[in-house]
Amino acid sequence: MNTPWRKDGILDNSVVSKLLPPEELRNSKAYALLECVENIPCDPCTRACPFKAITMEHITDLPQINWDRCTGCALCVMACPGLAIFIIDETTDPAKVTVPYEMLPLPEVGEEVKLLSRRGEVIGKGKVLKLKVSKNKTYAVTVEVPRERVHDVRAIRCIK
Amino acid sequence: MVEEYDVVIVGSGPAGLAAAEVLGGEVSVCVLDEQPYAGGQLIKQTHKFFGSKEHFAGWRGIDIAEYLIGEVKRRGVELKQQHRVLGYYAEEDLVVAEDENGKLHEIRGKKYLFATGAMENMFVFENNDLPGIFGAGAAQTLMNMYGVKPGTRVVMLGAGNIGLIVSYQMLQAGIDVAMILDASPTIGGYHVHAAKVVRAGVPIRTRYTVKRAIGEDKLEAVEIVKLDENWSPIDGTEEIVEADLLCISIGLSPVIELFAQAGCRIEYVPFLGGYVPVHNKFMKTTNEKIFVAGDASGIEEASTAMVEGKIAALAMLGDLKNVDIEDRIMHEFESLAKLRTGFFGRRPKEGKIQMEKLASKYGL
Repeated sequence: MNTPWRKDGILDNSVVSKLLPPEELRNSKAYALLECVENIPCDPCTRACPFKAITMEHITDLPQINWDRCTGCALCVMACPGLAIFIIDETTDPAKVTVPYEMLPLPEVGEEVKLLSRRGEVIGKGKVLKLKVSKNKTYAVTVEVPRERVHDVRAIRCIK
Repeated sequence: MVEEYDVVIVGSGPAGLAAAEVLGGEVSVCVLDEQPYAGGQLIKQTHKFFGSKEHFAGWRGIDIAEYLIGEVKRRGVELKQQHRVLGYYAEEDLVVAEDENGKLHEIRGKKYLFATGAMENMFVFENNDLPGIFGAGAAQTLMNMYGVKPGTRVVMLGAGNIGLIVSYQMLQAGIDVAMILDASPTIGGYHVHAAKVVRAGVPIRTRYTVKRAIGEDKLEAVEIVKLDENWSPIDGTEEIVEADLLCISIGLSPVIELFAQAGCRIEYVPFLGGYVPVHNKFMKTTNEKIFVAGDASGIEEASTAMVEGKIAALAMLGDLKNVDIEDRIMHEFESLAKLRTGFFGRRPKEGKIQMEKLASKYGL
């Protein structure tokens, strides 16, 4: 198995591009992006999805997603123990990215937050559009992201 | 006066509690633990668990502890906190436990489960006794159990799951995480744990280690150094990193003193984390009254510890009562096998295969 991310913890574009749905679908609806690349024993995403879009045969398989069934509801974002699922919506301009969030303070809707890349670099600012929370206390925060950075932004940091 | 139970469990961590949950209501059970709170490491684990539904996937450790404690109490299990077990005495067939007032208690079981867990490994470097240098688990205890921030800026040594998770929890507690170092060429923990801290701005440097700690009365800075392919420091690559906290997370060792003192056979199995009591797949040691489960039987995860606890409990139940445990125990064997598949399960899986061979050598 080629695992370049095990050196620094960063998924590079060659890995991420294989996780993305076809371009046609990306232009038509919001979708869940599963940045889950290792065969760890874990399956809560399959149970979290009310549309049965995410499946796996064996508990250490990588999750498979049926993009047609995915509605971008973000239930899997809050369920994933690895905080490895994001909702990407490139149908709008600016685009939207939903990230899992477990820090304090909590941002408020309308507030501007810093946008961070997979490398932890601050690559801009964006407005918080939506905040959801699950029973297990993981928030799903939707932020506005410049269209050209939609495949880079994977975390937020409050400015306040 | 000797207190008598069917099963005496030492350790109220995930393995001990999971065993108590199976046994409670079926036989009389007492759980002894030296700590003031039950739950072992679970109560400071604020991250969500992996696994499947039956392994509490998606639950946070602290919530699993609360659930299990409630279940075992409901089943009439006696949880005795601040009872430090001093030893097992074969002639009298009992353990002696010291309570918080220094009073000694003699407690006898028909069976015993020693689920004593593990200890953090220390690392040798100059000034490693300066205040501000902690095992990662100790710093986690201060933060998550006692609400005490152990420092303001940390260097974490070790990018295994514990180092990565504790770093993340330190970010949540408002501690500046300067960097995570690991002497290995690759990150040992799950990518998802690494990705969480990296995208929060924490660099992970593989092939780096701590050379020395710097400070007068307490830690002020850490000197780090790059390692070559033979794990030797490369001259001239030293850097000074300001930090008032240095956490060591380079692995755990099974706590086996109680087994050794009780006369159970001990063997060295590197894949299980070092010296471990010899045990068969039913978690029975070379003393037929004494069982083992969890990290004491080989370093793994809390989810596998809970399954091992259930297996030991079912095996004890089968020995004590005329009940058919076969289906239930087969189910737990399958559950354990599932958790040990994949890249990260290869070491414990290999370790347990070696252990089965050792067990048969001892006639288990």
